[in-house]
Amino acid sequence: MNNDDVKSANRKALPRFILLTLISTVIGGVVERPVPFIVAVAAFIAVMVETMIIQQRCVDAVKRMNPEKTASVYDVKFQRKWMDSCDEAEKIIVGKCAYKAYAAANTACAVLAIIFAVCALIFNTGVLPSFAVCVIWFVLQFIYYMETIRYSKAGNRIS
Amino acid sequence: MVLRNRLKERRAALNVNQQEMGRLCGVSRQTISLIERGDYSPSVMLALTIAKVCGVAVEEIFYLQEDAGNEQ
Repeated sequence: MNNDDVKSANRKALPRFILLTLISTVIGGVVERPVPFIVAVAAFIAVMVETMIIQQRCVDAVKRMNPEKTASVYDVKFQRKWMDSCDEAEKIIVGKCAYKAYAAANTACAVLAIIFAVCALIFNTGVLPSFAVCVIWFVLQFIYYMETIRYSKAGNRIS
Repeated sequence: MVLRNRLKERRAALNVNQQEMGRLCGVSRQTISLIERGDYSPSVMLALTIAKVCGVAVEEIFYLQEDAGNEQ
């Protein structure tokens, strides 16, 4: 697959992506509130399916350009198999991107936790939003430091 | 000091394209392209593998060069 094929595929995929996003937005915006439980569940499932389809399309495009990659999105061990099929340069790129994402998520969690905590005090919105953000923040930090300890002991022998 | 390489010349001498070179070295075509452009410094393992595929010593492909920007 050359660059022209990729550009052509992207041009075809973009309208579909916009259409799916619009449908999701319309479902979320037009339906009267409070949303009936069954509609909320259906909308949630539709968005999950849409996300999976978009992810599958992205992975398929990468697989067409890199035939050595064989992992399927529907595989339970997709993440591990995908990383196994990456070479050292690709793993470094993944690592750098993941660190940027981690740093951004850390900042976002800190800001959101403070905003939700202040909202809980001023607007009486409850502590659940702030608590949920703190749980995500804790999971991020915990996994990061556990992996740091593992790598500091075993270096790059950990795959 | 910056790491330079003569991979492109060596690959041309072997008469293989980047895809084939990547397959021989066990990496992707993009990685070979990144190395040739000087945008990626390979690990010792990969440098030795590339040298082995080319049939030369690793120093004949990869070498250190004084960085012109550091001379001031």
